[in-house]
Amino acid sequence: MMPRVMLTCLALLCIGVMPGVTHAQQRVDQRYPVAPTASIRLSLIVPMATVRVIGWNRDTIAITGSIGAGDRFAGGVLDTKLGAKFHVESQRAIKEKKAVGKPPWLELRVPARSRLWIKGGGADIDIREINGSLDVSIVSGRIHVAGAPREVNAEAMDGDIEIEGTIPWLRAKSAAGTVTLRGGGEDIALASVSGNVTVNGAPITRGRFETVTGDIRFSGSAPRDGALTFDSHSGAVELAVPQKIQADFDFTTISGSISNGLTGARAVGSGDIRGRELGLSNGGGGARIVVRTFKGAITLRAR
Amino acid sequence: MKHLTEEQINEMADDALLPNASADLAQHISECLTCRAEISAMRSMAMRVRALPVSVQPPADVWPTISARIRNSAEPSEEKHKAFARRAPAWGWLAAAAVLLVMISSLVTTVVMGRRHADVTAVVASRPSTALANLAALSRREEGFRNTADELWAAVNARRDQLSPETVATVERTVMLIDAAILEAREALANDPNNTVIADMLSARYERKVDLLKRAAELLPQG
Repeated sequence: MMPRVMLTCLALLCIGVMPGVTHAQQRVDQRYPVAPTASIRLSLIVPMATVRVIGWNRDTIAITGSIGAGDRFAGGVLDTKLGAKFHVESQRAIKEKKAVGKPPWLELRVPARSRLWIKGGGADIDIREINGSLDVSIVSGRIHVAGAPREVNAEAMDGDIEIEGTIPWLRAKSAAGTVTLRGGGEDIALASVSGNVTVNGAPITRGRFETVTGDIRFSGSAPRDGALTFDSHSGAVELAVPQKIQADFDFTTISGSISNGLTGARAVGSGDIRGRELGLSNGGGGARIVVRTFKGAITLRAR
Repeated sequence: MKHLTEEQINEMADDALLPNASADLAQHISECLTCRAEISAMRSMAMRVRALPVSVQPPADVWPTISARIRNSAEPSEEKHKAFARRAPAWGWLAAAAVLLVMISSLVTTVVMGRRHADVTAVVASRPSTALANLAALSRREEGFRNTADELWAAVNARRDQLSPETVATVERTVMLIDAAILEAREALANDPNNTVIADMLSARYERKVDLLKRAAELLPQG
């Protein structure tokens, strides 16, 4: 009998508290006219936030969402040509170094060709349909970009980075998080210290992929004039390329192994220096694909 | 405590500092992977340098043969000499002799060093000095990386309370991983100083460490 009474009291208490939580949120709903290629900056001075950015074909920034009762959303358009600057901050959360209440949630609709700059602590950032440039940096959480931005620079300390699309210029690096590219591009550099780097999809003309302990998995190709470099200390490097790729491969590992499933060639000792190496030309040669590991296994196979 | 100075690392590597090492210094070394790596690498390098021969002398029977061949080359027949004199000035002949001399000396070095591949004789001829030069160049580059990394680390460490404990933990954990990789690469390079692949890897790891610490420093609140 007693537990039932206690549960009822608890339920009543929850019902009483919930409206309070809801009311503690502040709504954000603002609109500003800007130039189609404006620069838009958003600083998230909060331990955790969720931000969704969508590009649209209007010369307007529309910001909707909600922030905590003690949080502050400020900023505005500095100049319709130059752009806009916004920030969300929570002094209490910063002081306590943890999220207080429900984390801010924002949706920004911005001109598709705008230049977007977002910097945050912990954040889950989702960006879609932007054709301009992106510069996004977080400590933890996740950065997800989908579309065809002209340039992307994404950095995270402990967060994961995921890019979908064909990006002419891409730099993405995380210290402990994973970095994933589903697509391709012209000039790509992906790096993580302990997270895995994964590439899956379209051709990449110039690419550099680097980890220290994380694995690198590449399933893609390069044009004949392409150049791809893979470098890991102890992570495994797995390359899956088209059987008929026109490329010259140059693999070296100091104390790891090399496995070639694309052709019959086998790795040999590196002459008078320590390590093993495999050099081979496929399809008459072309793209230069270089892999270096200290002790990570190197695997080459057909896609 | 700050990292050991270059001088302290050298002295530690030579075991010269041990009797006088302060408790702080000893404790720092026991806790600091970077400094231990420095000392270990310095010791390995010193051992390798000590193991190198003071000079490389060709076997006694090699020189008379070369000498005779040079003499023969330098004493063409009168007929040949006249023909040559019509075609080219005397310095041309000397240049040709010099080229021949270089080729022969490379050949000798190949024999002396027991090389398997004749196409790398030029490299082999200067191998000990190249190894030392590589190590010296790398050491200079490393010093630059280390100084930058130390400065950044000091800046982050001084204001670490302004970062979240999770961020500090991530930075420390990641730096440890990179330092471990640096240590392994340095030890491998000390055993294989001509290995440019390891040298490049070592540089890349340092760059990654500096980049990480730079990003950590950028996370600190401005002002």
